[in-house]
Amino acid sequence: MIEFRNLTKIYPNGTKALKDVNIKIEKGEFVFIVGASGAGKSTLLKIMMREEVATSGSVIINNYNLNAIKKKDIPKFRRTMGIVFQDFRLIPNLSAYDNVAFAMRVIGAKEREVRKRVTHTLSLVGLSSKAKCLPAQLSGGEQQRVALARALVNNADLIIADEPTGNIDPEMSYEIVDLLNHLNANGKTIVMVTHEHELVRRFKHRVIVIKEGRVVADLNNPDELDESMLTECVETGVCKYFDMPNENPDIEEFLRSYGAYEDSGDAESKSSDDKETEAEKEPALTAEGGQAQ
Amino acid sequence: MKHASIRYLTKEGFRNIWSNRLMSLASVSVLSACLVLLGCSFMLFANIDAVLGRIEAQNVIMVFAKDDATDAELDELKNAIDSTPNVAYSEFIPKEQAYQELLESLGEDASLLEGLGNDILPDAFRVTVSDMNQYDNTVEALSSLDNILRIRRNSDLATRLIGMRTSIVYIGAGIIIMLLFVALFIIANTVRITMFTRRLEISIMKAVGATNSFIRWPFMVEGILLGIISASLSVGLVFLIYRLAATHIQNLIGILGATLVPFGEYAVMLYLGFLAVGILTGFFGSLVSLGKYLREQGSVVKDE
Repeated sequence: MIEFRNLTKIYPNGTKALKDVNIKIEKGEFVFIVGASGAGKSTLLKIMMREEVATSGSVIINNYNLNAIKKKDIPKFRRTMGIVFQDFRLIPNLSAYDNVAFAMRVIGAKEREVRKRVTHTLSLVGLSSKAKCLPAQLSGGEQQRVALARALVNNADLIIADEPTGNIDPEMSYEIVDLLNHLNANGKTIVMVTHEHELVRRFKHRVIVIKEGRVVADLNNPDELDESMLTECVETGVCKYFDMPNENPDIEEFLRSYGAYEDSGDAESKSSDDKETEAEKEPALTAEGGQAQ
Repeated sequence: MKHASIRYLTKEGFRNIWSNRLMSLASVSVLSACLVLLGCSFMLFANIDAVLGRIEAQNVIMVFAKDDATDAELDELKNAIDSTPNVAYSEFIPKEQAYQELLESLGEDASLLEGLGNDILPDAFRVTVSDMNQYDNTVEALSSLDNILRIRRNSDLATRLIGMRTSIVYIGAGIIIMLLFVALFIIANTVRITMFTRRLEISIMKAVGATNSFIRWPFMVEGILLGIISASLSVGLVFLIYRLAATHIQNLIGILGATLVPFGEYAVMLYLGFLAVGILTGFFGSLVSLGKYLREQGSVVKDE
C-alpha cells in the first residue's frame, strides 16, 4: 500500500529533511510515526500527500508512483486517502453534516449518495445527534471526529492522521485513537503521526521512529523500543526520539512509559499525575533519573 | 463535468456570495464605483457629442440663387442640391422669408430697413451636410451648379468642430479604457483577497481530491454574479447622479440654448455595457487571480 524506497528529500535551501528512508506499510496496518520536531515527519507526510516530491528514491502509494504522477492525476490519487489534520480544518460556517458532505460534493458526488454516506459516517463517529451543529458548538474531540468523518466519507482505504490529538485533551485523544483503532479493525490502513508517547504506549501498534531525517527504529510494538535508545536518553538527559511531554520533561516518567524500570510496578497504566506522585514516593528511581536533570 | 456537479457548484457560487458577504460587498462596491465613473464619463461624452452635433447641424451652407432664376429653375436647383453627395437636406428660403428673418434678427434696429422692399434679398437654400469632414468638397460641388449667385460657407467653424469631436472621441475612449483596466485590476485583487480569506476551503478541496476546475467554478460563478449585481446597481446610481446633475445644471445650459440628452435614450446601452464589463471583469478577475493562486500553491494542501 505504501512503499518508500531510498527516499531522500532536500529542500531548495539545502535542508536535508529525509535521508535514505525505507518504509513499507501493508494494507490493514496501523502505524505510528514518531519523532521530535524537525525530525522529518512533516516532510514525510507532505510527500505522502504529494505536496512535495522526493529528491531521490521512489514513493509508491495506493499503486501511484508519486515521482512520476501527472499533475492532473494528483486529485484522483488524493481521493484514495483520507487526511486528518491536527487543527481539524473544518469550515466554520458549515454544519458538521455539511463539512463532511463538502468532501463528497467537491468531487462531484450525487446528492442522494451524499445524504446516505454522510449520515452513515457521522453515525460511525458517534455524531449523528450533532449533525446540525457548527464547529464552534462542538468540543475539540467532537470537531476532530467530524474531521475524521470527512476523511472517511469518500471511503478511502488509507487514513493519514497528522497529530490528530495535538489540539485535544488526553481523554478525547484516547477516544480518537480508539476510533482509528476501530477503523483499522475494519480494514482501514492508518498512518498516524504523533508526539504523544502515551498513546503510542497504550495502543500497541507498529512504531516508526524518525530522527534527523532517518528512520532510526521500526518496531512492531513500542515495548520493543531499543534498549540502547533508552540508555542514551537516560545518559544524556535528552531524548531525541520523541518530543518530551511538557516544558519540564521528566525523563524518568517518560522512559517509564516506554517500559524502562519494569520492576517499578504498575506505573504504565496510571495517569501522569499518579506517576508523579509515585515518583515522589520512590526516591531511588528519582535518583536514577536524576542523571537526567 | 457532470450535470449535478455544475448545479451544485453554481449553487455554491450563489451561497458563497452570502457566506462571504463582507468581501462580496467590497467587490460590488469597488466594481460599482468603477462602473459609475465609467457611466458618468460616458454620459458626459454623450452630452458633449450631442452639443457638437447640434452645433454641426447649425453649421449650414447658404446657397443664394440668381435673382433672374425662374421658379422652374429654382425647383431644378433644389433637386440638384439634394442630389449632391453629402447633402443631408436642403430648405428653400424665399426672399420674403429671408427679409422677415432679417427683420427679426435686427430687432429694434429693424427700422434701418424701412423704405426698402421685401425683395432686397435673394432666394436661398439652407443646406445641411451629413459629414463635416467632407464640408469643403460639398461646397465645391455646389459651386458648380447653375443659377447660383454665391455660396456662404463657414469652413473655420467646421474645421474646429471636426477637431473638437476627434479630440473628444480620443479622450473619451482613453478615459474609458483606463477605467476598464482599473476595474479589472481592482477586481482581480479583490478576488485575490477573497481567495486568501477562503484558503481553508481551497486547501480542504485539494486535500479531498477536488480538481482545479472544480475549485475554480464557484469563484467564476461568484465573479459573474457580482458583475451582474454591480452592473444593475451602477446603472441605477448613474441614473440618480444624472438626474441630480440635470436639476442643477439644466438652467445653466438652458441659457446656452442646449438641453441634456435624456438618460432613457442611453439606459439600455449603458446597462448592456455595464453587464458586459461587470461579467467580464468578474469572470476574468476570478480566472486570473485563482489561476495565479493555484499555480503558486501547486499541490500544497496545507497553506499556512
